[in-house]
Amino acid sequence: MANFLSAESLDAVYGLAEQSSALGQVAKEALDVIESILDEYG
Amino acid sequence: MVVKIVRGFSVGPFPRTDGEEEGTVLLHLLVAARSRRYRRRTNRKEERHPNDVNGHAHVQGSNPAPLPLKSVYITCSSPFDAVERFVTETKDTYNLDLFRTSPEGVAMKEALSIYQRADPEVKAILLGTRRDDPHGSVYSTLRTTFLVAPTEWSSHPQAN
Repeated sequence: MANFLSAESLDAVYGLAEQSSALGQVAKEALDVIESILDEYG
Repeated sequence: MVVKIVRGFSVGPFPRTDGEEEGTVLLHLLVAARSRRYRRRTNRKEERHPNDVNGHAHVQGSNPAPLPLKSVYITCSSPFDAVERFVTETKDTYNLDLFRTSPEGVAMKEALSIYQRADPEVKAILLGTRRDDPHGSVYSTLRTTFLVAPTEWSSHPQAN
């Protein structure tokens, strides 16, 4: 049985994206782009 | 740009090797986004239908995504053992439905064509690309850096 990442672990990147640091802004920009792609392509 | 995110993660496991960071970061973000969307959708359904047909409450899902993520591994002619291990670990960690191109190695352009023929339902591919990649300067936005739609596969700079 594979050891998938937990939802909680994956959500950490959203926590990062809420930070005002430069890294947080990069994460937010990347997630926004990915979500727009998911909206378009599912 | 995206590579910096790798160093910002404080949670593991986060498998990576040199040269694989861009794709791994993109994969991690994509899986995180899919997971969140899936849970939101599942929670909305549970709010509308709190009990199943047998009267049992649905379990709040901790499963990050319902279906394995379709992905393609374009092998080179002489893959390193470390790369093979990395791919296997990544497949397991991120629940990938992994398509491998021939072990002899093919060019990316041909590999994408093979993949498209093997799975015509694939609508688009996300591809990790460094800003300082030899082809990276052609991308004007993060979106165009990530996304390769099937109509662009044959002309994508990375594929030539």
